[in-house]
Amino acid sequence: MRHNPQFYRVGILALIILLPGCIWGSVKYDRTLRKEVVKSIEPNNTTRKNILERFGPPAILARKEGTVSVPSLDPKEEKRREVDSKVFFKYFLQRHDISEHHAVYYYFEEWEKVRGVSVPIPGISLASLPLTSTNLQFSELWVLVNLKTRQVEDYVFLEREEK
Amino acid sequence: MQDRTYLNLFLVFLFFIFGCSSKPGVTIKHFDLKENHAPSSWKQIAVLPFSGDKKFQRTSAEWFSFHLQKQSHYSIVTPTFAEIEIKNQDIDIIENKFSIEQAQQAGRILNVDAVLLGDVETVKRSKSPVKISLQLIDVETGETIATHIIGYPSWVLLWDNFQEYVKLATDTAGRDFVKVLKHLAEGKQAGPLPDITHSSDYKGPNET
Repeated sequence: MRHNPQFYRVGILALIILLPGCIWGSVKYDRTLRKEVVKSIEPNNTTRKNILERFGPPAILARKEGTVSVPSLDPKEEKRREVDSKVFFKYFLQRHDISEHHAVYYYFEEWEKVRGVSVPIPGISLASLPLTSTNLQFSELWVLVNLKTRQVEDYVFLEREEK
Repeated sequence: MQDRTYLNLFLVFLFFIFGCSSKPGVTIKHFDLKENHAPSSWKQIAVLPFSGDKKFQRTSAEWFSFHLQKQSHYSIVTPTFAEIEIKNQDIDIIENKFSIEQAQQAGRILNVDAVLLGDVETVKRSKSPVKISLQLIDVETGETIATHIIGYPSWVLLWDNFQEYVKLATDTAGRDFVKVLKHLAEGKQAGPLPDITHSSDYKGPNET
């Protein structure tokens, strides 16, 4: 069968244009833990339902007693870690009288902050491009929910950066 | 010769494009509903704490109950709340695996008409690495009204983690069960039930 080289040239060109989309996709732009969204949480007014609507299912749902099984951040890591539930209540223990009806909805997001001029090239990590630097960012949100009233009583939001 | 090089390059690029853009589809989806059962008196349904993978059982159950709360026919008791109430009654349940009798007992404690049992399994290197099984039980009779099993294929998990796929499977399960509850409340006027896709190698609820 005789192939038309022009067809493949156009095809490859089109794919080169499309592929950067995949690379950009690996940089988390569809972030849910945005400061402005988190700021809209109003203790004693926002409900559990509002939290699930805005942020989706939590990474961890911790109750006062026992341990929670924490998923590994490394996808290749199969072992789970058992963590004392109290760890997730650490920010609220002094400010609230924690009962069995309290739960912490914990959210975690990891994303890259890209600085500088960058032209995404297929197969090349953004970090390795000249004139571009990427910093790994972590956003964490702890939401204290009263399961009886279904209301949010408090929350803590932290952002940190790994250079 | 040059044609062949271009062809190979084209195929390599296609491979990467598909790898980037493809989203997994449900491969195992088994659904069963007792059509003639008409629970017109049902008012409340409790989602009991899910069994299975400890990493995801709570979050998956919570997300599933959140989906169910989008329908208006039945009031939904959330699994986190159910967990507290059941624990206070000292029912001996090991790893959230409820027998039918225990499910009925839990339903009576929670004062609901039906309970939903759920199980979320994550097994690497199996046919369905993420599998969610659901069972709707009438508290009064102990009869199973509906069962639903959803599985995701293994190849998508070669380069990604489980968390996203547990969410996707729970989304599908939640949306499907909203249709089921609507069907139970309204009958055939409620519209179509969830699509049933039997995978060729489906062997029933105990398949691993």
